[in-house]
Amino acid sequence: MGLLTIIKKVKKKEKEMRILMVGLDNAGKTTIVKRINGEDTSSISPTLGFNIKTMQYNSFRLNIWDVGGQKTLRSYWRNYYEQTDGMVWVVDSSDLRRLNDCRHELHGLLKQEKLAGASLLIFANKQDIKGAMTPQEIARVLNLEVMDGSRHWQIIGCSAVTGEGLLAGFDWLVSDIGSRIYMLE
Amino acid sequence: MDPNQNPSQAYKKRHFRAATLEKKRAVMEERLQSHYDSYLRDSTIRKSQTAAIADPRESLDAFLAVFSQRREEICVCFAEKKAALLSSPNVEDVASLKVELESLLLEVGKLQKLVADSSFYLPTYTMQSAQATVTKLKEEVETAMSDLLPKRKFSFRGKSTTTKTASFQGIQDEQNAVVNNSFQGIQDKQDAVVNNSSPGNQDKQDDAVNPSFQGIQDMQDAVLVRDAKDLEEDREFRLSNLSNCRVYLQGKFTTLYVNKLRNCHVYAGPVTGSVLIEEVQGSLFMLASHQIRIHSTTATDFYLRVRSRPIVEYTKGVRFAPYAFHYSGIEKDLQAANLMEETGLWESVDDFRWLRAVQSPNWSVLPSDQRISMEGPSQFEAENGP
Repeated sequence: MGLLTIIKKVKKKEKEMRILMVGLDNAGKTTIVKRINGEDTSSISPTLGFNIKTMQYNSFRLNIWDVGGQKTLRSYWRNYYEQTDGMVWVVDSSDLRRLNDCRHELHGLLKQEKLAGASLLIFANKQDIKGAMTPQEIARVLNLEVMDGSRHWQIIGCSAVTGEGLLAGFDWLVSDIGSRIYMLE
Repeated sequence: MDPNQNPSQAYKKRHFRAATLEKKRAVMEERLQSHYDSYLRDSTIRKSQTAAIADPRESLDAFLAVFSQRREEICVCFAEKKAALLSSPNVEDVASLKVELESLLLEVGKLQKLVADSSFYLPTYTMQSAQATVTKLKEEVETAMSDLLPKRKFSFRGKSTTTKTASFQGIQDEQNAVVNNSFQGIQDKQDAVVNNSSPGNQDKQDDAVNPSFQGIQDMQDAVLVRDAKDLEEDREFRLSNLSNCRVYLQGKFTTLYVNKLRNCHVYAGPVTGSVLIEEVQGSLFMLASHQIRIHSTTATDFYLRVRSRPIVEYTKGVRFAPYAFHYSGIEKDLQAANLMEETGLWESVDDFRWLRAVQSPNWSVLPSDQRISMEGPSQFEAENGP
């Protein structure tokens, strides 16, 4: 029995997943987490540091690490990479001006060795705003197709305000991680 | 013994015995002779056989002679090539030298094979030293070759394009399925976005024509007023690249992006989502919003009502005061945006560049005697308007 097998067994027993929420500031990361957890989203301060939220999702326990996206905090993101099963990259779909920043930061993240095996869900957030870019447009601008074949990824349009798309996104992420970690024995 | 025995009989008996012995001896000698003969015969046969089988190279001396001679040849040849290599930087010469070095490498290979073939009759020491010599020679030649022409780096070749397209197609379809959007739709939208980035969209007329953009950009020395009828509630509003402007946004909308403003005054109705401000100098903002982020801003006053703690990052000399804006119908808008009551958070500013307990030097509370009085466009227009 190898180390990997032991780790898999331990994880299977707990059925835990570690999910990292990242993205530029003002993307809506904390709002998404609070929304799927059914909390009040009307008075969320910009995240100074990080929040951890543990929640039951289907048969899994999700440990969601919601890390602040301000420029000052981005250099600390690497402290959270270890043992990440899945990443959620949140994009503000109405912030066209910073999409280049967004692409730059995302591709920097994709190069991280510690995140090499993690599934990636991209939330094209703020779809409730008129004139927001569609997930397809964002996929093109962010050049997501470079990940084809090297990573499990999915882009889904959502709105943290209305809640639309959030469950579809987490369903995909959890089932993808689940099939990777728990079913492949 | 029989005492009555006849002496002649006894003699006869003795004689007979002697004759028998003689006979036996002769037989024995004959047998020995034949043994010896057959041995001689066999040995000559064996000798001739061995001679037939035996390889003249199969002797240590012969091997050493051949090995050292060929090693000598290779060494001399290699030294020549090396000298040639150093003296001629000519490209063609280099190419031909490379070919020669390759043939030299083949020679070394042959030498190695010789050692391997002789290995069954060579003493261990000779064997090992010969192998070491060959390995060293080979390394030298290879180094010379790689110096001459660097080895091609290993790289993955692209897979056949057909499979690639197929897999991409699959993923593309999946995305479309998730969002339920046709490819045509994206194409159109893409074009719309491209149009937006061109300047001259600041006109209300243009905004109406171009539904995916709402905002004001690239203006100087202007007074710009947008009323509720001009502002789409579920749309973002952008202020970009303005200088010496006064902007009045008298209605509610969902998000405000501010970028590159100099010496501007911005008065805005409630923003139901968030406000993002970047690169502003010497300006004044009157804002009510759920979230406010201020980046890279200097010498600017903010009159805020917020439902969360405002943040500053890379800012200097920014001051904060409570929101005090008025236009007809603002109460209704504030109520609808859940921003009616004063939260007092306008002075709970987090400076992300100042994580110590003491007050950040980058921001301060604007003293009440320096605050502007409640201002509206009507008042402004009464003074300076057309």
